[in-house]
Order: sequence, then C-alpha cells, then structure tokens
Amino acid sequence: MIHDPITTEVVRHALETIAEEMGTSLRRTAMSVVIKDLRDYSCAVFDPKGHLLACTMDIPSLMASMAPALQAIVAKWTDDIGPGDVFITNHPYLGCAHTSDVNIFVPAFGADGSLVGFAGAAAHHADWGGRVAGTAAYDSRSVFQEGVILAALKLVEAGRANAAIMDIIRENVRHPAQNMGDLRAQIAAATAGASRMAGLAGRHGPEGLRAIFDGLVSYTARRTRAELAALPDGTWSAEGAIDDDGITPGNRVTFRVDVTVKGDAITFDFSRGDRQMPGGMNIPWSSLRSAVQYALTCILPQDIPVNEGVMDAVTIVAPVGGAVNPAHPAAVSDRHIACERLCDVLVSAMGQIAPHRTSAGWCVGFPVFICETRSPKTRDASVLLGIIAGGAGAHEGADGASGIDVHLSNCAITPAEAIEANYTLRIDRYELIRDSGGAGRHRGGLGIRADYRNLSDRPMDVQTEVEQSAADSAPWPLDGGRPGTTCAVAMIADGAERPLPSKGYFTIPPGGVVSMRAGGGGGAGDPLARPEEVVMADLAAGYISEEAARTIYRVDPATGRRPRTAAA
Amino acid sequence: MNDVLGIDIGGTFTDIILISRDGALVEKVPSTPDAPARAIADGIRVLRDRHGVDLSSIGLFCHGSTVATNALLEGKLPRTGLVVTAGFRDVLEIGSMMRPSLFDLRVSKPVPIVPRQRVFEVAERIDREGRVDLPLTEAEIARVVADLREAQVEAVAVCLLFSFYNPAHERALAAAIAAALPDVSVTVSSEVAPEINEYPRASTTAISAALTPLVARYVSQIGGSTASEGLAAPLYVMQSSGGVMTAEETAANAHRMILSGPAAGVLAAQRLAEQSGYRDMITFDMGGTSTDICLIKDGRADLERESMFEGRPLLVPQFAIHTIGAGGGSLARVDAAGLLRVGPESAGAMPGPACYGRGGTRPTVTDAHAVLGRIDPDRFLGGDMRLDVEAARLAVQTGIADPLGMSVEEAAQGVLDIADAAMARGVRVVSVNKGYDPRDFALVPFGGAGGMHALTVGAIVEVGRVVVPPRPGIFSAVGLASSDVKYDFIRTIERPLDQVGAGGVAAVLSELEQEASARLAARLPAGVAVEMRRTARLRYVMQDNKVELPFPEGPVEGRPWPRSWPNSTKRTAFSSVTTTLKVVWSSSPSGSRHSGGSGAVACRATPPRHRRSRRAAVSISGRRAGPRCRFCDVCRCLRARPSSALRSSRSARPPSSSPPASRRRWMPTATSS
Repeated sequence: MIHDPITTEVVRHALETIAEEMGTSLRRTAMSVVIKDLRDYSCAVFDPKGHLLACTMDIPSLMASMAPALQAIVAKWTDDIGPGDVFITNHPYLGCAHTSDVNIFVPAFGADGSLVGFAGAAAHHADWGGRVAGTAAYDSRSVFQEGVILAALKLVEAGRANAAIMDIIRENVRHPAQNMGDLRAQIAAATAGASRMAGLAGRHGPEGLRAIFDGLVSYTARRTRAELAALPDGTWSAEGAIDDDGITPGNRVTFRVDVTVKGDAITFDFSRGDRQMPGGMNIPWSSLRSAVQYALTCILPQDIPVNEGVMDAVTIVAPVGGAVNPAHPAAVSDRHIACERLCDVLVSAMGQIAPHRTSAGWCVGFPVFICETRSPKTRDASVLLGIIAGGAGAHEGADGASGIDVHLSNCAITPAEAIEANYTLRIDRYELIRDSGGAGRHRGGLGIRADYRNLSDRPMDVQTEVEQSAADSAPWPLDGGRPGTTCAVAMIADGAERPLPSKGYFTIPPGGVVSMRAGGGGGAGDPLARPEEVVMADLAAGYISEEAARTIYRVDPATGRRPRTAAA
Repeated sequence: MNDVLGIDIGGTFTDIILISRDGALVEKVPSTPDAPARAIADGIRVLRDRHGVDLSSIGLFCHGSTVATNALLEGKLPRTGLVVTAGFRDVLEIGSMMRPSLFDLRVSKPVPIVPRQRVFEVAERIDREGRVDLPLTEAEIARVVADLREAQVEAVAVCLLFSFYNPAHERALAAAIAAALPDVSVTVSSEVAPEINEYPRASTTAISAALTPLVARYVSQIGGSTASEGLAAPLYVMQSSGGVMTAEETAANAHRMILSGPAAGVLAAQRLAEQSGYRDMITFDMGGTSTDICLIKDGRADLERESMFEGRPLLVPQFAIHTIGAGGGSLARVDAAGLLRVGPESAGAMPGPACYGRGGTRPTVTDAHAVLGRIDPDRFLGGDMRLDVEAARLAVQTGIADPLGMSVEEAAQGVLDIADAAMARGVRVVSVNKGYDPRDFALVPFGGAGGMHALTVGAIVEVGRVVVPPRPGIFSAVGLASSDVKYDFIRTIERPLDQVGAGGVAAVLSELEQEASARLAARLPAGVAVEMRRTARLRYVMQDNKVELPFPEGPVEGRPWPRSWPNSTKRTAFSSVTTTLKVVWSSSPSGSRHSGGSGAVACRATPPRHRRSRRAAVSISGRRAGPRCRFCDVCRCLRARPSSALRSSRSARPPSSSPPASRRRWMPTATSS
C-alpha cells in the first residue's frame, strides 16, 4: 500500500507529538525531583519489532537504549503480548543502560487485534536499592550490588497488576512511596501513548500504519546512507581516558575508537580500548549504542528524523569484556560518567571527518552530588541527585555556551528553590566560574559552581563524583586555543576550604558546604586574535579576570588596548 | 454608556470597530508607528466627524497592540538591570542548563534579556517557609541602589529566592529604588510571577521589566490622546490570554500583552467557532508585517500557562499562537546568490508598499497582488486610498524581474508563491506538527491580507475548507470588542485536604471575596454588575501538577468540597482557590445581523485530487469586484462571486449536522444572578 507523502509526514509528526505528550504526562504525574525537575526521562514509540520510531528530545542516552530493551522483551514474549499488558525491564545485560533507568512498555493494537507497536517511558529512579543510597556508585564491584534487577517482566498482565513484582520492588528500594508513584506515572504515560497509537491504527488501518512505520525508518536510513556516501572513505581514530577505574585512584582507563567510512556505511571499532574495569563505570552495550548514535547524529543534517533508521548503516565492533561492552556481572551503575568521556572521544573522531559540524572539547566531567535527606516538610526521606554542567567548546565561528549539559545527558539544573523545598540543604550559589572557559579567538564556555550547604543539625553523608579532574584531561582546544579547566570538588567547613578527591563518600558537618565545580570548554583560535573590545566586554561581564586579560589575551585592562608588540 | 469600542493597532493599519445597539461600525486608518496614539486619535475623529458617533455613548474601550512583541523581537529594549539573591547572578545565563538542540555541537543558548554586567547581587535570604534567614540590611540596599544608578538603567527587575512566600525583601528594594531613582521603573517577581523555581520567575520578571517603560509610555499616550479627542471611556488592553486589563494594570504587567494583538483575533475566531458551527479551525491572521496562526480544536484555542519567547521562559497564560515574519508588506528581493527571497524585512506602514504611493520603491507582497490585478486600485480601503499600480510594476520590475530576467507578471507570481510556501509551513507547524490533519480543519483567514492567500495556502496544505469571516480586515478588532473584563483573585492554601476544614475554606473565601469587591469597586463605575465564579486548584501530594476544578458557589459549610473530588483527603492537596469576577455589560446589540458568525463565507479550498496545479486554486482571486462589503474594502476580493474553481457555500451549513446551538449574543450576556 502506497501512502502519500502528506499522510507519512502527518504520522511522523503525530508520533513525535505522542512522545511529547507522554513526556508531559510523565513529568506532571511523577513524584520525584529527578523526573519533575531534573527531567531525567525519555518517552518513545516503537514498531512491533521494537524499532524506534520517534522519541522526546530529552536524554540522548535513553533514546537509543530503549530499543534494545524492548527488543529483549519482544524476543522473550513473542506471541504472548496482549491488550492490557505492561512490561518492565532494567537489566543492564538485557538491553538496558543501568538498573536505575527503569523502562516501561505498553503494546498498542489495531481494531483487528494485531500488534501495531509499543509506547515506552524510561525514567531514572533516584534510588533503586542496592549497596548505596542513590544506587549508582563508581566503586561497585558487580551488578548484584546495583539494586533489584527485573529482566523483561510483565508487570501487568491483561490489566491485572502482578502483585509479587510490585512487592519485590517495594521491599528492595529505600523510598518506595516515591518509586511507586513514579512507576505509576510511567505506566500512565505509556498507556496513554499506546492508546494514541491505537487511534492512529484506527485511522490508517493496522496494516497501513505498519507500512507507514517501515517507510519512516527506511527514509531515515536512506538519508543517512546518502550523507555517509558523500563523505570521503577512510579510517579516523581517537582516544581519551577517564581519571581512574573506580577502585584505584590514578589507574587510568582509555577508550579508543577507529571509525571507518566506506561507501554508504560506517563502522565503529572499539577493539583497541582498555579491558573492563573492576569498578562501576563500565559501559554496557545499550549505552555504547547510544553514544555511537549520538556521535553520528551530530554530523548529520538536523532535519533527518531520529529513528531506528540512523543505525541502519552502522556496525559496532566491541569484543565482550572491554570497558565498553563488559562481561556479566561487571558493575555498570556509574556508566553515565564514563559515557561522557566516550562521547568526547567519538566526537573528536567525528571532528576529523566533518570539522565544519564539530567544536573544541566540551567539559565531560559531569559533576554529581548525591545525598539522602528527609524532606523538611513531610519528613519523608529521599535521594537528591544534583547535577551541574560545564562549558561547551568554542568553534571557528563563536564562543562556546556556558553552563550547558553535555552529550548523552541533557538534564535541567534542579532549581535552588526546589532543592531547598524538598531537602535539608541550601544552595548557596549556582554561578559561572570566572576564567574557566579556554582562551582563544573564540572562548570556551564557562563551567558552573554549585555550593550545597547542610542545613540540618546533624552530619550529612554524601557521595560526590567528578571526572576530568586530572590536569592532562581538560577539554581540548582547537587551532591554537587554550584548553578549558578541569573539574573539582571542595569541602568548606569551619571557615576553611579543602579540596576533596574527585570521587568519594564524605560527611558534611552541620552548616558545612560541599562545592562542586565543573570545567570550562576548550577555546578555538589564538587568544591574541580575540578583538580587544571583546576581551574588554568579557572583563566587564566578569567572564575573565584582569589577570587573564593581561597575561593570556595581552590586553591592558586600563587602556583596553593590546601593546603593539603583543599583536599576533 | 453601553457601546463598546475596539481598536487594534497592526504594523500597517489600525482597525476600529464600534458595537452598539444599532450594529457594528468599522473603520480602518493607517498606523503611525512613530506615535501609535496618533492613529487611535485619527480613528476616533473619523468615528465622531464622519459617522457622527456620540463618544459619550461608549462605555468600554478595548485595545490590542503588537508594541511589546515588536520591541522584544527587534531587541529595542531599554537598559534594564536585574537584582538577585547573592550567589545567583547567572540565573538567566545558566537558564535550565539544557541544550536547545540535542545533536548540535555548535549549539548556542538564548542571549539573556539582562547582560551579566547589569545583574547585581544582594546579600539576603528568605527560607522555604518564608522566614527571613539573612536580613536585608540598609547598607546592602544602598549599595545596590548605587550600583543601579551607576549602571544608568531605565528599568529594574528584582527576583529574590522564595519571594513568593515572603515578598518583604523585594518590596523593600523596590521602595528604595523607586525613592532614589524616580525615573526608573521597578518590577518585582513576587508580583508578576509568584511561582516557585527561580529561573522561569527571573526570566518572566526580566522580560516584564524590560518592557515596562515602553508599555507604560504607550498606554499613557493612548489614554491622553483619546481623552483629548473627547473619549471618556477607560482604556482596557487585551492580554495574551484573551482577557483584558486596565491601563494601570498593563503598565505593571507589561509581559501580559506580548501577544495582545494576535490574541484578539483568536478570541474573535473562538466566537466564530461558537456561532458558525465550524468547531475545528486554523486561524490565519495575515497583516502587513507578520502572520499569526493558531489552531482551534472543538471551539477552543489552547491556553498555555508557561511558554517560551525566543527560548526564554515566560510564566503567563497565553493562546498557543505561532507567528511567522511575513505579511503583505514583506519586502521581496533577489539575494547575493540569485535567489528570490520574501521577508522578514517589511515595508511597514511608512513608506509601505510601492503601490501605496508614499515613496516606497522596493517591491512587497501587496505590490505583487497589485501587479497581477488582484486588488482594485480605485477601491482600496473603501476608496480612501488609491493604489499606484504603475509604481508597483516599476518596483517589481527593477527589484526582481530585471535581475532575474523574467516578465513582471512572472516575478510577481514568484513572490506570491514564496510567500504562500512560508505561510503553508506555518499552518503545518500548528496542525501537522501537533499530530492534527489539516484536512479536518477549516482555515479562517483574516487580517488585511489573509483572504488574499487563504485559498492558495489552503490548497498547499490541503485544509478541509476555507471559512472567511465577515469583515476579515477588522476581525481582530471584533475580538477586542467582544472581550470579557475579568479579574482573578487567588489565595494559596497548599495543605492536604484533611487539614483544610470547612471553616478554613470559608474564612479564606470570605477574605478573598471582600478584597475582590473592594478592589473592583475602585476600578469600575458604580452600578456595573459583576458575575462571580470560584475555582480551586488541587494536586496530589508529591506531584507538582495542579488540576483546576469549579468550586461551588454559596456559603461554605459541612464538607466544603464537592463529592466528585478525590476521596483520599491525605493524598490530595488543596493548592489554591480563585475567585473570578466578570464584569457584565448590561447592553449588548440584540440583533445578530452584524455580528460574527452568520454571514461567514465558506469555500472549499482543496482542489480535486487530479487537479493539483496551483493555477486552479489561484484563480479565486480574480480581478472583478464583487458585491461591496459595507465597511471594509480590504476583504472585497474575497467576497467576489465564486469562480469556477470554487464551489460556493455562502449559505452552506457547517459540516456538523447541528446548527449553532444557540445564537449567542456577541457580547457577554447579562444574567441576573
């Protein structure tokens, strides 16, 4: 059956609208700050085989990891998928990213009873049980320390909730009221999405709708292959390391990629990378897939619809047992930290292939502050995930953006007022760090500093994690620019400030402060080529110090001029 | 004292409608962008002198304007400062921290309304309960005032943490700034956007503050010029939500009039939907400089509570309107690469299109119509304005036809084709992009140029049909004259239902309603009737989303809420209660002869499938003059007798079998309660 281009386009937009509606519904009905304010979730629709058709443009890491999770469900349940079923899965070795990202899928059916697709809502649960509050930990030794694992189960069968699974979840998480509320919100969102898909099937016929879906995926595949065919054939390589393996400080772990473009296909080979880590930052298959899809999409024209078709031309080579694609039961709960560095390596390879679409290095240190406190209002305990962003890399046309979340993440900064209303913490400051952006003709973006103060009258246990703290790991510059700054953590108590290790478990005394500092992006071009008036404007706004103006940009703050001898 | 005057200022024309017992009277005068109030005075003079209108019969004067949007879009804003709690200097620049575009390594964030060098920190702290944690000292206030003075700002926004629970610090700062810098306007977040979460609140406050000097000057000029023409009726200004507010409220809530002009058109379209029976429409309001498009589903346009303006959050209720920068006055040019481009630059009101004969030499969309003979040069604006077709030809020839080596007619047709494509894309944004099939909707063109493009645009997008309202040229002004004057009074409760007893609700309501009556009495002439309505907002404990429900009228006793409310009184929180007072204008035109819906012209835009050629669809706008529209000649060509490509359904029934349920009166009806 041939469908006219208008119908196909209408269906494509309808699918994107369904995903957006699911996202809105999830955010409105969820109970945790992670979903409501941080927005760590993704909603998507899929065809009957579990191929991604459309998704909310929220979190890239969830976008490409939902399809393998759903495919595991389709493979397991095959013909036993019926109306009123709701599936749940979070198994990192069965298509999921880490145990805290709980995926919910609801099938949609046509009037003839045939399966037309699935609607899915994936959301990060602030705590999913396991060894530490907040579940994710850089120093976990195996996936069995990372909370309860649900391997592609039916949470609801023909409209009847499986009370056993509910009980198991409730008894294995720290703050069940919040988890149960969020799960119900996910089920509501996915159910609404599935019923909207059924509505589409009513309009176009189940057969017709499936044909339109195939057309959408093959359109994106065709466009992607055409773009790849236009690139020169060849192999490009890049590498980069994280600060440590999660167990031994200074034990660097290196990611290496060889990207080969041949004709209209592209291969990402990770074989030369380091072996799997003893700690919790290993990158499971679905997260690796997300990173590859992200990096490839970054060099494609923005008007190509994002769906399964993007991956049609892609081959990923990653032997089992590496820091990417580790062997069960390696721990993976902190994979998001390593994933940002992996993306940095990938985009640096892509920059060699398509320099006009890339930039200098971004801050990929991803500072995270985790603590468990009681709500000052309700006295209920819950876990706070505080995430802040660094700066973006500059490029030959513009400065990098400041305080902007990076690559596979795209979280919102949790408003200070939302944190203070829900936790016994005060945000003393959310501000940009002067001189953090790498200098250049175009300056890198500035990183954020967030100070969390313990407002309770008791010591508070917290976990903090940053990457990119080693001096040689700073965001890389382009064309003669300077690198951005690295990330850091400090404790401020009793009137003194002391640096903390990049990752660790600490106790904040009452009234004490933990200060998280994200790095700035890399600069592009010679700092001496930055126009004097732009340097002076940066100085007036406080983006740079007088010292930086004088020594790096060689502009005299008093006159606003560069001495003749300093001219490049 | 019961007539209603609506005046809508567009980029090119100012539309005037007077609704009285005798029907509606409409006029159109050229806009005067350098001094908008002059066009209003011109219009009032025309009513008085040409039509003999007794100005003292006008009881209500509603106004819509694009002055705020234009200032924001053009970035022509006064020097604005922002005062924030220490530690939050970068609240605007950090924003949400999210990427506007996910897969773009060169992504940039929206430029903050207030640049970092004019953001000032003040040491103070209010906690989550509204208690003062760190007092705001006189020394701090003095320091910030000195900083503001040195920065030479014209407007200041103040946004402190948790000010919506305790505005004392914001008020103290505002008072000190006003006393020390009397020429500087001050806008505080606890008044314009008293909602939790600092970034959207600061963004809204900064936008409002930056607009305040412009808007305050604007409303005071209009008030002055109408008064000097002898119009005593108070000025009301249309808000983005379709409600109206007084001049004073407008000056204090400048951000509420960002979509003032377009909202009036949507309001009129909602009325048309009620009356015509076409419940699903896409409005197509094409003026001289821009085109506003809005989807109406089942008679209502979506009202968004939080929206983005150019990437910046804005906490204000507004219709979901999509604007594109192309209209009848859009300039056409051949770019460096030899491509024909149309807009976004506009010839505006002065000099206007070349054919207006006011010195314009560059070709516009309207000139293309004139060249192709689609506008009768002798009867433009009811004959008030003669079009210079030769000037239009010359502009199209030198600007486009010669450089591209084509005939003048081909060049003119090319300009229209490009304008239509841009418009069609806008129609898709509000329909296809939201999952609606335009084939299920009627396209409702209005604004001076809407009708000229509706059929071609409708054919490209394949809308179900085109429904032309009567007097499309002044349709937005009709919306103004049919707006409700409403006031909302809100009290926050934020407690679980089981902790809010009947006594508590009764006390809150009685306090609220006393305050409401007192404040309204000060604003309205004596003897004007008002209707009162109560609504409550509820949410589940731990969720943020609130649901609005009607709250019963009458005394509160026993169980204070309806049986239909959730049973779990522990898990449901009573967020707030609102009393809305609606002013009832006792006299409305009784006949509907001149009112909105009944005379709508419906046309089928979709050409038969086998005739997809654009020519077939274009032939509607033939050059002959049809029966004259009594008041407005801008829409005349649309009222031409249907050509062969167009099936007339002038008297066609709406698609739904049911006729308009009740012939609602044009004005809010008076109900004695």
